[in-house]
Amino acid sequence: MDINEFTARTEGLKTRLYRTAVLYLGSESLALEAVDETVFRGLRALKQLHRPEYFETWMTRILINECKKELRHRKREQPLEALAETPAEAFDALPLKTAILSLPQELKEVVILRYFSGCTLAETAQCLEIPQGTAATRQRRALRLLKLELSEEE
Amino acid sequence: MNRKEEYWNLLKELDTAPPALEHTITRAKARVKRTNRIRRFFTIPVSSIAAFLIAFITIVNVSTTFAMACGQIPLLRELAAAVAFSPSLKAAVENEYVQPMGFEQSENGITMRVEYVIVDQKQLNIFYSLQSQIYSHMDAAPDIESPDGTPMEGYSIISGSFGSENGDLRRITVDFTDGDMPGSLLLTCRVHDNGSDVTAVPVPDDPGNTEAYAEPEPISTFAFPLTFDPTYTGKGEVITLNQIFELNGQQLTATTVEIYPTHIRLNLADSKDNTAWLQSLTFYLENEKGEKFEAITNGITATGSVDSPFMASHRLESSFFSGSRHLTLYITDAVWLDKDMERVKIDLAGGTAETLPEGVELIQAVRGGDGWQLMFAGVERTENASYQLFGTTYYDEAGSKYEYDSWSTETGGYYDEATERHVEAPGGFLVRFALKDYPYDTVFLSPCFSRTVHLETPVEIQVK
Repeated sequence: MDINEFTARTEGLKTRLYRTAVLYLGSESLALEAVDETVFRGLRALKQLHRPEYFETWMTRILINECKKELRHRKREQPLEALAETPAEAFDALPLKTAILSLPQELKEVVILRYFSGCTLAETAQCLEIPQGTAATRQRRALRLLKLELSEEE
Repeated sequence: MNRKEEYWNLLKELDTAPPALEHTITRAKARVKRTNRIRRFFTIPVSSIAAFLIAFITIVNVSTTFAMACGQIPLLRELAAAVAFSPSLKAAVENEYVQPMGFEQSENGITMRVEYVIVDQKQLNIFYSLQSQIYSHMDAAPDIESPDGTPMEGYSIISGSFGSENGDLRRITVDFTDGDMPGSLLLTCRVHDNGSDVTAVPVPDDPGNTEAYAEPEPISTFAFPLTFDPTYTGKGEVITLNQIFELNGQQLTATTVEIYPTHIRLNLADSKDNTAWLQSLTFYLENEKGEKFEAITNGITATGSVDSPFMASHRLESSFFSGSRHLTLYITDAVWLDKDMERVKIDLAGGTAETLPEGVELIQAVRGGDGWQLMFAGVERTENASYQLFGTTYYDEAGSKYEYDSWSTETGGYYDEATERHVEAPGGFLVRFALKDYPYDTVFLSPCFSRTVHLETPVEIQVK
């Protein structure tokens, strides 16, 4: 892939990356930083991308890594308010955005990729490097906790 | 509102991206360009007389006292920013140990001004600016000569103009390892354009590119004769110690401590019976008031000779302006190169190493062109500070000697071709270099260290 193709494809992808990062990090400024970092890292490693057909998944994977890094960094500074052990009712009472942010990380990332980043289940599994069956289970669990009923097409 | 409505509203909300997202690709391109330049800029020439260990810090720490001192001296405000990384130079500015110069020359649309120097018996710090209506990002390649134009020896130059804008105060540090600072010298400076249009970005360089830096054609060449006030160039105190001590089972002698306004040198000698060469120390000096003078983190940290891997002289921030009556040295960590690890065998074809320094990992050995591209991972000893893993000399099975002339250091992980994954290297850094015109499948590299040792009880030496 040359730099012109990278530019064109990133142009079409950047809003989706931003959307993913906002939900992952819960902050617009941190999301913007994560997207900037992702585009920079993608550009630097471009010559090592051998399968351009997986460009979008590849960039999303870099973004997820960046977001995880930021969360780890924040965790060191202040403990995150994850509701991992909280009953389902607690999620139900929260606004959807807050409820997504409060999901355990492995559920949150599946929901974000599937329903906000436009990834298919297979692409979600690929981005997160988990089996497709695991992605499907996590998707079901997350939707149940959020009390959100979405079809596969939505 | 039910959950589904909330979902559609949230999707709509997230569709509104901030305007700054528009330029994310431009920013990335400009950053790639800058990173490539940084990597090249910090490539250290190895042809100088002594071998130098250089580390960089990224934290600016400006104390209130310092800020006030600089605020009270309007002329020195810009100087404050330029010395923010160096506690010794900050103390020099606070104590008005600064010789104003005020020389200016112009050529081909560029004006160079030499504003101040901070000089002592061993080190010269030149603060200068470059100004141009035509060029917005300029780089300078400085050198020094005797006033009559004859070459000088036994010095090193560190200059950091990368990232400086038009008119910013920049710094050149000239360090005399053995000899003393002359009373006068000729500063020459070749200035070239570093590219001002960050939007017109060419295809990025290969991240693995380890080609030696080729200095671009200069636009302007300046030559400033500089004469120093002898009250500054004579400053320095040498304290003889000759104290023998043991560190991790190795015998060392602290021979002298040299205290200059810009830095302190702790000079050591080793015993021929030692099984390891000392490479670096974590150490500090403390005075009777409890003030600590830590090891230099931004500049030359230690020097040695080409005759032996032993690093004989180690640098600390200066206590010169502290009025210390007593100074005690504390050594807490040491980095060693075991004598049986002076060369390590790498199986390039198999991607394995017989043995490697502690914490070092061979990541990739890739055949490229007529040689090999190597990538190693190292562990940071202090945050954001990398260090050299291998010396520049390497050998083949027959013992023939080769040299590589540059290497690059980066953080943030790498792309693993085998798994097609971006691999993070948390708390670590990557070092790449190329063995050019090297057809063989094995190589012997020269590690810069083999292990680091922390002392539960610091070694304590009374300096004065």
